Amino acid sequence: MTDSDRPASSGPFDPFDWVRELVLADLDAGDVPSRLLLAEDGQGTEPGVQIVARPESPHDDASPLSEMACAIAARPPRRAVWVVPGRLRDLADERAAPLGRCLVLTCLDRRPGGWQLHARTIPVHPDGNGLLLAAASDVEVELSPVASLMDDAARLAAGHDLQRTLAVLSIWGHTVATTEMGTDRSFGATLPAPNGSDRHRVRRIADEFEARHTPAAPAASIRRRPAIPTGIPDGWAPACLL
Amino acid sequence: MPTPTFDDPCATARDEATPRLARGLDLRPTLIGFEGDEPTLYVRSAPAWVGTTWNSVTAALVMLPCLLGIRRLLVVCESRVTDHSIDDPVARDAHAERGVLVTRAEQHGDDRPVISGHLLTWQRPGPQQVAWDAPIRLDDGPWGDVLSHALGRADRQGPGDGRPSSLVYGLSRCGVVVAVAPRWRERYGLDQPVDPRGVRREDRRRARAHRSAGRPSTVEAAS
Repeated sequence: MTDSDRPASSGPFDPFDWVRELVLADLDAGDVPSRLLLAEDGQGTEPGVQIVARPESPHDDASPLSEMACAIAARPPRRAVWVVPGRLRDLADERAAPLGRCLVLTCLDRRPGGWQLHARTIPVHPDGNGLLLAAASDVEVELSPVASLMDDAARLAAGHDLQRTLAVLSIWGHTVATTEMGTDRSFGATLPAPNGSDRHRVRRIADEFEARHTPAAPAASIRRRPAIPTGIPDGWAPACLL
Repeated sequence: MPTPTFDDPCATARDEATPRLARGLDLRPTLIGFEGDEPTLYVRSAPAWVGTTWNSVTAALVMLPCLLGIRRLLVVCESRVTDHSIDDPVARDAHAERGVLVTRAEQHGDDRPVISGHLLTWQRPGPQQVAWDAPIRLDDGPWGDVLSHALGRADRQGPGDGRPSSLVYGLSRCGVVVAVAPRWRERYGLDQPVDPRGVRREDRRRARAHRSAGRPSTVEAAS
C-alpha cells in the first residue's frame, strides 16, 4: 500500500496496520519474538528498519529489549512500533497466576514539539496455536513493559550513528533488516563493521536502560519505572529532566 | 490537551477526560495548579496506585502544590454515582453510574478555602464517542477536605531537603507525571539540580550530566 491510498496520513496512526501480517505469521509459527519497527522522516508511513530480538539468555547483562532501545536512542524515529509478547495479570493481585497471553503493541508517533505514545494489547490463545482471542484494545500506556523505555530512548537522543548501532545489534544476535524498496536484504551486509568504541558506547546505553526500566522484570517493577509524560497540556514540558 | 482554565472547570475536565474515555481508558486523578488565571502545574497519578493505595494517590497529588505555595487548584478524577436508597451493596454497585468529578479549590490570604465541585456524567453514543450530560453542582465533594487541608499547608515547606526538583524526581520515579508550563520551571526552582544523596544509582550518570549542564562552562574574568 502506498502513501497515497492510505487514509492514515490524515487520521490517527494505527500501529496494528504495520504489524498485522507479521504478528499473524508469528502466531502461526507458534513463537512471537519481540519486534521493533522504525520509520524515519521521509519514509512515509511504512517502516524502514525492523529488528527482531535475539533469544534471551540467563547470562545477559541487559535484556534484549534494552539493547533494541538503543536504535531509538541513536536517532529518534518518526514512528516506531514495538511488539512484545506478554502475560496478562491482575494489577491488584500480582501473586496470582497469569490470566492469559497477549501481545503488547507500543507505538511512538513523533509530532512537531514532541511525540505521542499509545499501547494496545491483543489477547492470544494460551496454547500458542495462532488464534487471536479478541480485537486489539487500547490500554494505559504505563502498563506496557517497554513504554517508559521507549519514551526514555526517544528523549535521550544520544546522537550516535544509526547504522553503526544497528550493526552492533546484529553482532549481538538481533536480526536487523530493512524493507526499503520492497527488498528484504540484510541491513548488516551494507554496513561498516563496528569498532570497539561503537560496541562500548551502545553497551553502556543498554546497561543504563536496563537499570532504569527493567523491561523484562516481573509486573511489580511497574511501580519503579519512571513516569511517562504523555497527555500533558500542549506546549508544556515534563518537570523532571532525569 | 488544550490549555486548562480555572474559571471553567467543567470544560477543563471534559478536555482532560474525553480522549481517554473515548478510547476506553480510565481517567486517573489529575491536579492542575494555577497562579492567578494562568495554569502552571500539572500532576497526574500513577496507574499502578489507583484502586490500591488511595491515600498515596491523594498525597502525591497535593504534596507539590503545598511545597510550591499554589493557592488555586483543580482536581479531576473519575467517580461513581450510587443510589443510597438501595441497601444491598452489590446491587448498589451494579446500578452505579460512572462520572467525572471536578473539584475547584482556592484560597485568598488567610481566608477560609473556597471549595466547589461539579459532577459530569457521560454516555457513549457510539464507538470512540463520548456525550456529556449537563453538570451537577456539588458543595465540595470527596476532595473537599483534602484540598482545604492542602491549601492550609501551602507554606512552601516540603519533605526531604525541601527542593521542588528533588520532590519531582521522587514522584516521577514512582510513575507520577509532573509537567510545568513554559517559563514556570525556573520560577518554581525546578531547574535546580536534584540532591545527589537522593538519586538512585541507575540515575546518577544522568544527574551528573544535568548538574554539569547547568554549570557555566567558562569562567569570565571579572572586570
